[in-house]
Amino acid sequence: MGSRLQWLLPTLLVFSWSGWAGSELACAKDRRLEAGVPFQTILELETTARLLAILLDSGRAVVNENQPLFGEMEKSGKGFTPEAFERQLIEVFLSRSGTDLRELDSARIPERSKRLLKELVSASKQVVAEAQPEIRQPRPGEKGFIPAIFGARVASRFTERTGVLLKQTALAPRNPANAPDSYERAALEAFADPSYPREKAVSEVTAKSDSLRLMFPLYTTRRCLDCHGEPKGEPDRTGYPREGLKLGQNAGAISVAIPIRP
Amino acid sequence: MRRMAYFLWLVIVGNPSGLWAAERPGGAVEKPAGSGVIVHSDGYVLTAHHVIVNARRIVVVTPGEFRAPATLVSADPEHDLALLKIETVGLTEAPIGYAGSVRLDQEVITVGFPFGLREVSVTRGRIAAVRTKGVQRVFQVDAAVNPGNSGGAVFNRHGEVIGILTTKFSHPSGIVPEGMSFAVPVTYATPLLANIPDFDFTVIGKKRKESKGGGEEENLAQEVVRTSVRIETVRNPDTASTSPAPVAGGSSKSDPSAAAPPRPHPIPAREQPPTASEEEAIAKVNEQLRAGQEEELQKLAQRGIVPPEGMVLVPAGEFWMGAEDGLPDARPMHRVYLSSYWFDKYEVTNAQYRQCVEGGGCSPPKDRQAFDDPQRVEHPVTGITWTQGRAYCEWRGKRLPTEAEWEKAARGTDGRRYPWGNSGEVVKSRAKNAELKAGNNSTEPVGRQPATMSPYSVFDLIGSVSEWVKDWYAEDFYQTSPARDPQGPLRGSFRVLRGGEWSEKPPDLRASYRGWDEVTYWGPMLGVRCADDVS
Repeated sequence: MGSRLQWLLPTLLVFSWSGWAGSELACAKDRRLEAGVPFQTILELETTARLLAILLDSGRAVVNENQPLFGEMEKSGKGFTPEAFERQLIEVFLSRSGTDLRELDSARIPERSKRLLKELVSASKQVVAEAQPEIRQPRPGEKGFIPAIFGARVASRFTERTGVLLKQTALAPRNPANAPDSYERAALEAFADPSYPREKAVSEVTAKSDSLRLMFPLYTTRRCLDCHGEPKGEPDRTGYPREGLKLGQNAGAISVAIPIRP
Repeated sequence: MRRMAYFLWLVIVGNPSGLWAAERPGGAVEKPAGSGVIVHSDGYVLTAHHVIVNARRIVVVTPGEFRAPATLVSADPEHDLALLKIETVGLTEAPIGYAGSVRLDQEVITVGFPFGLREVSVTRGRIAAVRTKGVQRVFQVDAAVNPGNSGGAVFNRHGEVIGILTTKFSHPSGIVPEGMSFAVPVTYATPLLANIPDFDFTVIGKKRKESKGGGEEENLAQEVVRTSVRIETVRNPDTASTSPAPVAGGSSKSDPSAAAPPRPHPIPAREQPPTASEEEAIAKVNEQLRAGQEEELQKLAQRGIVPPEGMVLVPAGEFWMGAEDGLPDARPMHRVYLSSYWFDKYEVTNAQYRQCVEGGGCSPPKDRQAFDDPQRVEHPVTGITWTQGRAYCEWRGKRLPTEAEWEKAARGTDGRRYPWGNSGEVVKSRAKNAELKAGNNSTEPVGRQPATMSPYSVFDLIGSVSEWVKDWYAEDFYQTSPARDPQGPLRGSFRVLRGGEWSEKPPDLRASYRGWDEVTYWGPMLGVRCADDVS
């Protein structure tokens, strides 16, 4: 019953705001006969999934930006602390999503989004905190604390805690655990088409599914090319063959699956 | 070439059958095109945009077999919706439902004229899924829908319109299983419905009457049929080669309601040395632009306004932005009007940036090696993120230039390819030099390359570092850009970078080239310059 109420509230809010009180009647009748999720709720779930993907990607961007500083901490005296990370994360997420994590309580986004975003920030900070030894003293020849490693650790921790799946995936991932399932594969193939509109997600909820799935595309930036660019096949600094990616090319996606009933 | 062949195939195979032509540009003959729904008794019909795209003439056939020519009131190609009007009154209109309360697995009815047949068909189904792909969001309906049903309405059990059938959406797997169709939620039609003078939005989602038991189903079927219309079009045969029928995945952006943009001066699409007359033309434009700049400066001086130190004036007016023969994100070439602005003559140097760091307005560049090198104080500052670039300009009491301001300062008003004209010779010779230089990634002091100066006397726009500008990057922004002082998309993931070093590929060295990267990115060949309003 509690979960019902949660679906009802945002829907009612929208109705009262729009002055379409009449719909409630029709809606109440539908609810008795059909248990399907309303479109309004699906839109909210989609917003939540999109924000989570942007937040995870923002964390990846911050880790990426600070790469050249890792191992230089003792010299420069400045650390990549969880607090420093959080400050930069808030800034990047604000500029990309328009949502200020410091004023989350008053933000006009679904309540469930707020809870999940807070959870994702705390998981990200913990991962950065636990990675301090690697950040201070990267061992030569090893991957070190790169965006993909950060993303994988944060995602698995977040999924464990919330039951919301977060996953980095690509058509040819280096980590076999990131291999796409059939839904992810179809979306990745759509992203790989150069005519696909940039930064636009693919999402799906079917009448039979119990979660909303969303795929948020990622693109190759200049920093990615150090390891994933040309020349194709040449080993990068970790000994893995380069993929030969080009600047701006689609480079995989963040996959999100949110259970419809929390 | 392939598109042409495709068109021929359509003419040969498509037309005799008369079926497939319904959805595709065929010859200039009247062909059944699709379906629509009456949303206002004064003759307003809602349909799918692709049903009427490129139509020279649109005819709406009402349930009473009344044929009337229709005009396009409003179109939304992105969501595949269009609003038509026929000159009549007293039609039976369909109530509009509230899409937000449509539920998964809910029963629905689709109505349309499959294959352009005269017989209306009513099909039952359920909402099987909600899908989003790219810019499209749809209800997936598990009802059998055929070509010709496009533009027809999807009704809920109360006879309210909740969606419009579309074929523009493609299933993410690329395969659309049989008995599956897609409908645009009617919410997206709100801006179109607002064009109807006395449309009553307060009744949306309030069904007309309680459905009675017994003959309910039959009544409903009759009711929805009374509000559905057939749409026939005469297409422009010549448009078939320029704007293809909606293809899976790619979205056709053509919009007949938009006036054809004026064509820019033809720019030679070749890299050979320019002819003497071409060079003369460039020189003449340069002369005009400098005279205009001088005149405007004098006017400002009379008002007591002097140029800020190190800045040039770019007078108000229109210019050509983008390129037709460049990368897709630079298309189309379009006219943009910009108000007067000041623009930094040179990129921000290490010395200037140091003042800001010491003054407490800026954080040091992410990589201090070049910044701390006493040999490079007059080199452009590098290794700064977009946010640092913006902080610097603000500390100076200026701001970042917009993408349009950068481009106008770089290429003047005549749509030339480079700041100095259309000659690719400069690029070729410099690129060779850059190759010879060991290691690239090395800057030069600002203002050392007068050959690359722009008509407004701005230096180092091409062949130095890439420069952050204010705008978010969106690949398709030029297609919807405002014609006056565009500020870029409201939101995005990447900020635009303009200009580039000599070692980049020649197409990336054009003044129209649009680079981009994450706001957190910084590198050895990435700097900034500032702009300011003329108050």
